[in-house]
Amino acid sequence: MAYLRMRGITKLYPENNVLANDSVDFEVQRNEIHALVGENGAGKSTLMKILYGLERPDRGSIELAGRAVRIASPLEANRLGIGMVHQHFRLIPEFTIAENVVLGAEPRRQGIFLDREGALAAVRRVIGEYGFSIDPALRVGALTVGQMQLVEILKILYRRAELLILDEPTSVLTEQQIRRLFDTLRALSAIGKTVIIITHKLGEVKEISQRVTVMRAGRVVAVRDTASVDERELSRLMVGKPVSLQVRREPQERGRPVLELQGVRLLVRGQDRPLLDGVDLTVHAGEIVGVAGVSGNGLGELEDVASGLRRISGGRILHDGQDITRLDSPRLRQRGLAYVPADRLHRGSSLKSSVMENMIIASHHRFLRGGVIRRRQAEGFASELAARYSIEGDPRVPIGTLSGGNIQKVILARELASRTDFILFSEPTWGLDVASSEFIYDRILEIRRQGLAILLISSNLDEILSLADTLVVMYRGRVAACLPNSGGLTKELVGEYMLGLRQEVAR
Amino acid sequence: MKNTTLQRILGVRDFGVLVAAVAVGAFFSIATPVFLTSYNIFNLLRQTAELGIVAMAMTVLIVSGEFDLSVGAIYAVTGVVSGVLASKLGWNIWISALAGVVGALFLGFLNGLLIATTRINSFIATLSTMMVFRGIAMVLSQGQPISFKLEFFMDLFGRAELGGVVPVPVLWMLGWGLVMYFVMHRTTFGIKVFATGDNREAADLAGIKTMRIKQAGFLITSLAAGVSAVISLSFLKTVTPTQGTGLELEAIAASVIGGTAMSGGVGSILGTFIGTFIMAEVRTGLVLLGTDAYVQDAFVGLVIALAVIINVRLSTKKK
Repeated sequence: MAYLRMRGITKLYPENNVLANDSVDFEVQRNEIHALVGENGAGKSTLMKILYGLERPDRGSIELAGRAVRIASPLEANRLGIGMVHQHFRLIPEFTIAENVVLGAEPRRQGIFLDREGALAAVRRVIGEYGFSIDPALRVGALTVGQMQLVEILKILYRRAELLILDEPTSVLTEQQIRRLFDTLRALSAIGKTVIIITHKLGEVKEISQRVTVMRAGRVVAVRDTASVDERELSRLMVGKPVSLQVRREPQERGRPVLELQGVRLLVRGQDRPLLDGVDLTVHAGEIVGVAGVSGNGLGELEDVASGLRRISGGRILHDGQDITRLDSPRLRQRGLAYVPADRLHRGSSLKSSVMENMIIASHHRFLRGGVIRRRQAEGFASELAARYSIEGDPRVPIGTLSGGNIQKVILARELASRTDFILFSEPTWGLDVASSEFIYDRILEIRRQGLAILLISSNLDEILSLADTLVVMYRGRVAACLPNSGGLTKELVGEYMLGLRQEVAR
Repeated sequence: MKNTTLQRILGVRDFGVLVAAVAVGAFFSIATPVFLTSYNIFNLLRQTAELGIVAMAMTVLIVSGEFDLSVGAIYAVTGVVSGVLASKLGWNIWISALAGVVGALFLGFLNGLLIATTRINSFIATLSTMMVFRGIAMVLSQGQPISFKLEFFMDLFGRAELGGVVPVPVLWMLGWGLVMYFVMHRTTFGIKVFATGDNREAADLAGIKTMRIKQAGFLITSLAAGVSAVISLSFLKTVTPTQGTGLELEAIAASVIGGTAMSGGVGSILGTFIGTFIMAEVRTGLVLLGTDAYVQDAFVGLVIALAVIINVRLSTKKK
């Protein structure tokens, strides 16, 4: 008899028409540690948000301990004994550990007074009961990431939760902290708690879980006993069969090196592992270098660094053989470096400004006369671009009213409008419909023919395998593999590099 | 870091403010001999009682992540309502004053309601209610000052001096401060105020009704405005519809000097109390030095800027 039974859960996000969960059946036994795995966007987080009352399913039912339940809010989830540790912590930095833990269910004195000693004692009791060692009087803002996570777990245990959901709990932790977390989870399971752990690190699945559910594209594709499945098979289940995109990449000679990263390191305070660790990477003219990796392995950091938005801690970046490591983004633009960011809504565009304004923002000086923008010329320029990129809608409306595909086209049009020899794409088709994606692919191949150097960061393996001339796989902030994409590459192989099952022989 | 006992009692942030208060006091004590006399200190505290009461309440609201620019106007409405009832309609002064304070609470309730229902930024929402409330005070008083004949009531709230030394407004301020201190630093309501201002999402997830907390904050500031208006009318024996102009900004300034973060989540009642005291020190000190009255505001402005700069430095160094 399953402890938790979710049946036929279906959830459509109407904003971008994504079917995040498609008739998902999910079961967890009492007392087990159950891993929920899948690529980014597979629907794991949506399913757990539904279980925790943060999202309502369009269809489907939930049974907990044999009883049908409706979970409309996290508070109700708490009452039912469900607790969740979010990937990004929800803590009050100015408060002590004890205050954070009791917040919302504080011990009181005479009805209104906060019983600080009582809170400390209660939290100390929980800490002792589960065998942790941390001082509940410490201020949360001064803790390490691993300790903050422990505070989140304490919050759940203080509320007497029976079912703990952990959303990618290890992504921010160091090796040692992961060991400690796993010991904790095993101890909790031993005393009768049930744990669901979301992850895409297969080694961790093998290590910690008894059973594993694999999701892909909003569906459950497999449920296995962890002992009976190896990492290669899990990896195959996660990435699925290759989908060939409708793009034709003609063979082409590559030119001079345009952008080079040499031994780039990125250290961040509070992280004892570098987020980028000695990354070497060269993008030649007329070449598409695809960077693949699972989130949390340095893709986002590479985007920040290659776009010049984040200063690196070591190594250097060259453009045309000249050191550009310390240049700011206006300088980089002057040199002809362009950038289409993953976060197209906040980083790529100014949502409340018009399409026209978004188009000219990188080159507005061309339309200035006496410090005033010549509107007619600017609008002419915008209409011309809109026609060339088949962008629907009036260039005078705010860009935020456009569809995701059209917004991305505006950004692309802007970035390619000025003289450019290098362009960085990050997740260029994420969340876009098929037609818009194909349009973007055609443009990318077109500028490759024109001889631009292209760095394509993407978690979509099909995209990278179809487009890239050279494939770089990132794992834990390092380049795990740098492979020419000449036909012999399979999704399985790349997946194994991405998940750390395989490493290129040390350089 | 070396922690003295005093520092531990006051907390690191409040300690910095206290040092500033002592430094400012020392400067004026050396510059003018009359500064450091019990008469002057109590006089200084008396003059600052209304501001102190409002500023300590404002701290609660700012910590929760909101502002109330209408407190000065609410202060005027309270005075005018009490004045019209007592002097023009001949009501009993106790009932008139009570009606004024209830009126103040009602206006605070309206502020909270406006922000809760429309989700307008409280800065702009209370800027508009400030003008509306000021208008109410103008209409009710017909733009004229109203004077009172008060006896015992006047003594109790404004004129009397305990033991011939401590003016009663100072006692009211200390009493109010004590209540605010317990509310903010000892009750579960207080911890919710801090949580709401520091990380609203986390507070919501913890089951705190954060909008209720903010609405309660508006009630507290309006009550403070009402109480200090009663103290003012008892001392001055007169009310004007323009009284309390700029009170809201001084209250915010005192709160910030005392270490309250404009972004919410950080602040202390004791800090605000000391912040109010610093502002009063500077004002009185400048008068005693014989500074031109026109220059005084400029100096107060400089002190605020300086205090905030130091504050930001201290709080960023900690992280």
